[in-house]
Amino acid sequence: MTSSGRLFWVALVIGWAVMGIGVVVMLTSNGDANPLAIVPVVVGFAVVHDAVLAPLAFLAFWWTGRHVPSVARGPVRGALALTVVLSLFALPLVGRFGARPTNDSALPLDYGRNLALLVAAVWAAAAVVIAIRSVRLGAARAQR
Amino acid sequence: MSTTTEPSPPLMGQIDAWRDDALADDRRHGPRPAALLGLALGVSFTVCFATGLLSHLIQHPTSWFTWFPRPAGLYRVTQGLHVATGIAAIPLLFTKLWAVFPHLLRTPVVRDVADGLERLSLLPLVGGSIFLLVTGVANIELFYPWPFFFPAGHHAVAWIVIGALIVHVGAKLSTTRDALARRAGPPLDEPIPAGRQATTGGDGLDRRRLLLWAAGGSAVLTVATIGQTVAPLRGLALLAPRRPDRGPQGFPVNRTAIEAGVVDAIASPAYRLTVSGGRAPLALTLADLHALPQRSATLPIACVEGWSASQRWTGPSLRDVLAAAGVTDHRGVDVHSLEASGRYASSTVPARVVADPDTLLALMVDGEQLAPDHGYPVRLIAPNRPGVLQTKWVGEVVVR
Repeated sequence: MTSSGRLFWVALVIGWAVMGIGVVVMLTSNGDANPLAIVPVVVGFAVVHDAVLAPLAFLAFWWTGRHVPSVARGPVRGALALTVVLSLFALPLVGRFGARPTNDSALPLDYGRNLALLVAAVWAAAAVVIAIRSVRLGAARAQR
Repeated sequence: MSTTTEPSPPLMGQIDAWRDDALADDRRHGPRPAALLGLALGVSFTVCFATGLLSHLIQHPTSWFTWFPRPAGLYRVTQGLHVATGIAAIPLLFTKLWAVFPHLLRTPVVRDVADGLERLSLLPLVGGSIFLLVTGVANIELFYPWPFFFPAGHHAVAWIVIGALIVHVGAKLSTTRDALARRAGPPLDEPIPAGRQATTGGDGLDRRRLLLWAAGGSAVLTVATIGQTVAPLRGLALLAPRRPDRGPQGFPVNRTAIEAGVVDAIASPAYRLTVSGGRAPLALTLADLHALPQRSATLPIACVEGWSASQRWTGPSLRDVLAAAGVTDHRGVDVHSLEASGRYASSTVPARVVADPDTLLALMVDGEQLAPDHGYPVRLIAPNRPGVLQTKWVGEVVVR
């Protein structure tokens, strides 16, 4: 067995023991961290990622591969991905899911406007990159 | 290939092509992007785990752990780092998952026992990592769409993720070391299949540019939120759930007087601060508290949710109040709010924190009487403590 093989088995034993601490924390939490409530959420997130998010990301990757000119493809994909991440992060803020009627200091900003500003900045940056690439590509073609 | 052959469904073919391209790319260049992302995630998750565990221990003291009141702003830094690092890890995690996803689709699914155990450990690693980031973000955004108590669930799953991460590091350490040791890819020993680059758009967001995107995404999210604790950057904090300059008297509130149900109790002329557990119980009026020697200290409210704000607090030192009650020897005190119930209606102040002269029963903030939402008539404020332990609307101090 190689040293990395030995390392793996040692790490496996230690890692699963540490995971066991998490299970003990759940079981001794007086219901605060009920494993019946938590484990399905943990497994659910992995399944949602693998079965929904990753295929959707691949679809977007595939679609942009077909329909976006190569000079713009990278920036468009990057901007699209960042738009999704920012939107998911901001969704509870924009929807004011956690707003408290008597607490003006909780969620105090206009998050819809702020998200729009950030997304606009991301796409503006992508547009600048596309413009620079186009100019460089044009110059390279002109030299040939 | 015969032109009459039924073609495979185009999309499925594209997925196969993408997987094969990615796996071939790893073989050609070594999995350097995934390795670098893994290293960044390993560091950020370790920082989150250490700072999170620290916060847990401060809030749930054990016999073997001691937390000191100095430096006064240390918890503000560690908890600010916990939340900021978690936020910055979001693009890193999803980029990493994208970079390694082709490996999930490889065949055979399991090669041997070790491979099977390693792959099994990926379920808690991936699901748990997403769980930690999603619940952490939802918590700072005050959104709780789940049937468990957030700190307890987040804490338990953190152990599971760190355990799964140890297994993963054990499995990937040599691969990562080799990948990082290689500055540039070796000569191409495997040609890129003809037509492949055209199918998935090879000139697009390629695997090397993923790193740039992940770093950029982390930077954007960090700039959009870090101002909730780094006050000079508050103007850029477009997606911060709190702003250190927004709230009554110019700083945020976590729980209002109305939410705590203390509006009548704090306005009552019968209000007294009682000190019990000493030689004889003592009941102090607000005027009595003002008559004690007053001390001012600039201390932060450092919330577990990652925001913080520094204010100048004024009131008698807790140790002077205890001295007025004739308490000379103690093992700390319990400070109880006027709140009838609630997880944070009381807190324990260890003796070494009581001894700090800046541990105040504050009556004023920035030269004004405390607003009801900031704990009028009396709130505890002590150096280097989580905000949830800075008990508001204090009604009773019990000597331990």
